[in-house]
Amino acid sequence: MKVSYRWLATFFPAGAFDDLPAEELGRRLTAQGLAVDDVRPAFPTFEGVVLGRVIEAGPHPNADRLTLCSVEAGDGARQVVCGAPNVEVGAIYGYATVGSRLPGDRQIRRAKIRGVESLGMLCSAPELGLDALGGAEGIWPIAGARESDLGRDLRDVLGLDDAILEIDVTSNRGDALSHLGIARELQWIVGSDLSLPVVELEERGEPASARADVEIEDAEGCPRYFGRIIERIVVGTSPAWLQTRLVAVGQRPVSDVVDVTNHAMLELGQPLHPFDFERIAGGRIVVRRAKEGERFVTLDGRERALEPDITMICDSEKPVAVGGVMGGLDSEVGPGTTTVFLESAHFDPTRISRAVRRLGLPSEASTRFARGVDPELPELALDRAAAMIAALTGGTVAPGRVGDDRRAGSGRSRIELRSTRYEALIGVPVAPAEARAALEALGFGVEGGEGTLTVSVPSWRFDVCREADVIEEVARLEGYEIVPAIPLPTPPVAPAIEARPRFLERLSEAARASGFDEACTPSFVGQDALGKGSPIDNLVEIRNPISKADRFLRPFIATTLARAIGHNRKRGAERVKLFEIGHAFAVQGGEVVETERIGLAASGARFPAHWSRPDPEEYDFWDLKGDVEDVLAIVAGLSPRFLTGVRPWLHPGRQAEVEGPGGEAMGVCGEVHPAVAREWGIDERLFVAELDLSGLGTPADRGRVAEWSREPAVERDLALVVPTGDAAAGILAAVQEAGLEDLARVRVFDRYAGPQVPAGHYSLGLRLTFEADRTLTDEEVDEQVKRLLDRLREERNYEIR
Amino acid sequence: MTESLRERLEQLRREVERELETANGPARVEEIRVRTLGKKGALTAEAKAIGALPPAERPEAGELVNAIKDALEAAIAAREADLAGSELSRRLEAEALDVTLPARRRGQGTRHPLSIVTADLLDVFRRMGFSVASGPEVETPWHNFEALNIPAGHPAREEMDTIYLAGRDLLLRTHTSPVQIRVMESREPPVRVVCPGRVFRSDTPDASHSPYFHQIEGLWVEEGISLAHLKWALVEFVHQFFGPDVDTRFRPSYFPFTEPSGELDMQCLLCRGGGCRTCKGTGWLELLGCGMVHPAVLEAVGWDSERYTGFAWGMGVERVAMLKYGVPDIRMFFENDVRFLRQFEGR
Repeated sequence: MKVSYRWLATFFPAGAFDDLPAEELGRRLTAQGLAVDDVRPAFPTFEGVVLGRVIEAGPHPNADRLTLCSVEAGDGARQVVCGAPNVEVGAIYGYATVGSRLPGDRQIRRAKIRGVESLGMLCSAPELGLDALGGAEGIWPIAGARESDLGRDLRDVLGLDDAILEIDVTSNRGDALSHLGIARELQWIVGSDLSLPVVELEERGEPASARADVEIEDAEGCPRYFGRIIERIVVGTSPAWLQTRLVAVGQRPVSDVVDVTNHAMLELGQPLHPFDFERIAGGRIVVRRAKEGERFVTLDGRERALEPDITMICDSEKPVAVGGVMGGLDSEVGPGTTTVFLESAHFDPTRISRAVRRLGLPSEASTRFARGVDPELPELALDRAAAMIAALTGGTVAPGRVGDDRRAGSGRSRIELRSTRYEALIGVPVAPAEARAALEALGFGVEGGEGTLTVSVPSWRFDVCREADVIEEVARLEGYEIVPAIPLPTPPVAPAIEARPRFLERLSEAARASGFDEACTPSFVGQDALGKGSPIDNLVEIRNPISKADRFLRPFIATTLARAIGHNRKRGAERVKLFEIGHAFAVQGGEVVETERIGLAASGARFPAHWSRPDPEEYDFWDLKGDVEDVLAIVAGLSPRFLTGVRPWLHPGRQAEVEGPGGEAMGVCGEVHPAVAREWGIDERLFVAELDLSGLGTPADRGRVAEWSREPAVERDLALVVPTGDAAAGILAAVQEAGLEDLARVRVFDRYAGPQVPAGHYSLGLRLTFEADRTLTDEEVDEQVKRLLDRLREERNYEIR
Repeated sequence: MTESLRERLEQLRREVERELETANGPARVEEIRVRTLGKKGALTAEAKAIGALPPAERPEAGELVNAIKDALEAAIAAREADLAGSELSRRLEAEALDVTLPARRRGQGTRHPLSIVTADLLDVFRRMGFSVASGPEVETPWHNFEALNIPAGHPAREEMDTIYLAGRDLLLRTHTSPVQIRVMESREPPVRVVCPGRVFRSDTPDASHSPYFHQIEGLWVEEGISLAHLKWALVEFVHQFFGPDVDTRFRPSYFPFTEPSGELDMQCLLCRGGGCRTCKGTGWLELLGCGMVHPAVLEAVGWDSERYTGFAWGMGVERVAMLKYGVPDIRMFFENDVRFLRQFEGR
């Protein structure tokens, strides 16, 4: 929120800010909990510009487009040549005298223009850097300037020497969204009490109650509603000082009536709404809930569908405004309005924020109501604004407010503040007198003394509900800087590095050792996460996604990793291996299941490019399977099993389900189906693996280490001819199951399919290594090999090649 | 007789030695050896001739022949070694490499900067006595809001820009604070935990916003903990992590789940407090939000808020990483361009 330094000063006695320049004020407010993000001049600097009236104007003897003006600025008429087409005799302008300095380091000198002497210049708003205040066309007449202002410095008349504080008001401090709210915070800093603006209200004519009445039906949504009638007005533009005030804090001037309501809101914090009274049928205001299916055209010309938890302001026939949110087009105050009905009401924050969400209509007013406005403020704000409107528009205020007040109980809440509790929470005591002074400066009532203070909360501090809140009020005014730093107590046993984080750290190390760079990919995916047309039943859907396309949570980390692979491959990376440890989501049995996983993805060259290998080998399935085995072996000493998989988004012949040694599902690995990879923008072969980590965490207990043979090993190579459908894993298992007493290891050393073996078969080369605690003889080994071959022939019909 | 033998042998030795000197390869040396010491060699013939000498001369002649034989064998062996040596050095010379050519690296992977920063942050807090806890990313409104003193309709709840799951009363956690609740629900006081994790907000991505980002949350609850402990812990953290000379500023703020609440600013690392673009001219950088755990939060998990007090804090990992590594755009962390990732090798 933008706050004007000069405006704040109006709440305090003259001179109260003398030792508090804007920057210092900003620092003090920040230290008190109202973070001032920025302090800057409200307007560009210029000097030597005074108010001058054009008392005569005539044609320039030597130029058609120039006007010869006589300007009175309090000390005698001066001749000024003006190039603007809109000079008006009698109007008052900003007059840059000889020697003045304008923004952009422009200096005004005595000059001869087309042979005629000109003493200074009449200014346009842009020439003064005040585009927001005046029009861009021609010179700028100063609205509302008086005879007595002639010769006065324009900066003083308009109040341009001001600083703007940009304050980041926290969401609990709705009360601080006004100059009054900030001024309340300043009482402690300034050391004197603020005074509220004086309302000079002159009431005349027929009482308002004779022509208007108010009834609240929706007391929950709007517990308090007041209005005043201002009549015989002529809507016009605001005087320059008011426009300046508004522009300084970022508000656009509209018309005097609207500007006054905005002014009251920015000054006191109470949003107001002016209606054209002629458009209020029957002079009657009814505050009720919207009806189911009701529709309404708001000020911005859009028709909106309403819902019953929205509060509507209605006349005797129809709705005229969305309560606390936005007025209606029909009852808007316009140039022809002669009687205004000014609304000042209190709306329920929860209901307002719901309405704003439903209608998508945030505004200065609704933002304030949503955060909470002082429920006791409406009357003051109403009177203040009514008086100002009457003064500016020449109208009169009808006697009396009309209104309805349904607030249940307005008793201030009372809270006990124990000095022991203060010290326990803050770590340092506070003197009761000090606490009392701080609280009173904020408007709290304080009773009691030793040990316990009884604090009554002012109506605008609805955020203060319990003792801790009061403690914070005192602590923040005392300043956090004076709180000492006390070392934490040492825990009895310093915590070990916990098993899980350590496991994840090891996992990351293992993946990196296998050449994978760690990535961090989005959690959101589209319905084509696993290929176009893949079923979405198991995807977790987001109700309000950032982008409609990516409205699901990733079912596999590998899918988002794959996108990152594509990104890099497209940009020329020849070898990309990425991994991520993170969460993936699925719907299982109707429930959302979240698992911690590691995803791996790779594409391109097997090794980093090297000049010795001009044609690099490509990463393939065996590399992927090896990486999976390496990672699991390193982190958990695990030898997983790989089974043929059938996932549609993977290559039908190059994928495996990964199982733990006990047959528990651990994940999947494989080449991505080329059609799916292409959808992801990858034309090269792409490999992914994903492992569920929930079952992992501690290295496997593999018992004591075993002795090994010191005798020479004996090796035998076999080439088995087996049917194409027989998987290697089964054959290796069969060899193990034969139970050869001295067989230490079996290794696949060759696989061949071609003319040398019968059709429908392949040859699998196995190297058997035999070891024993004695010297093995060839006969012993041969006997064992024979036993194996007999068994394989008998059970599986395998032949030796 | 002996004299003439001596002369003959000496001459033989001189001849052989001369020949060895000019022998240019092992084959030539072998040929010399055979011609001299072989079965039909010159010296062998002299040895055989000793038998024909009168017995009295034989010992002396034998000694002479043996001495020459030893000398020649040694000379031949020396020449052989000589020649073999130069052969090896020729080979080695041929094998010489240009060691300035690029290496063949296996290509180990790098750590993501967010992981590095997270690990470094956790390390500092572990040394203070915190241990690490984690929780789910899909959360219940109770854990994410109600238990943290953010009831429905609370302005802070509106400001959080929460992402909800379709058709379920579940959401993506907007902060790591629900882990506090989960930890307190499952343990008895005291608790001293730090909770890293991914969080979500319905923010449109730009240079400083991402709909998913990471936080680290800390919680220390036990009897007798005050704002003064919080202040020590967090200032100590800044000094350990960013350096002992970095100034801090501690100012009041607001969070629904802490009371009193505060924010810790640290001196801008770029301008050292002088004011620059990064700190928007203030000389300060907002680092983290913190406060004393709100009694309503302790009560929500059934803990005695009169007996136990504690503090909590939370900060954005991306923000710290951006400051530490000078990363200008938060989206770079999630783009996963290897030209970015590989800059973190060894960090």
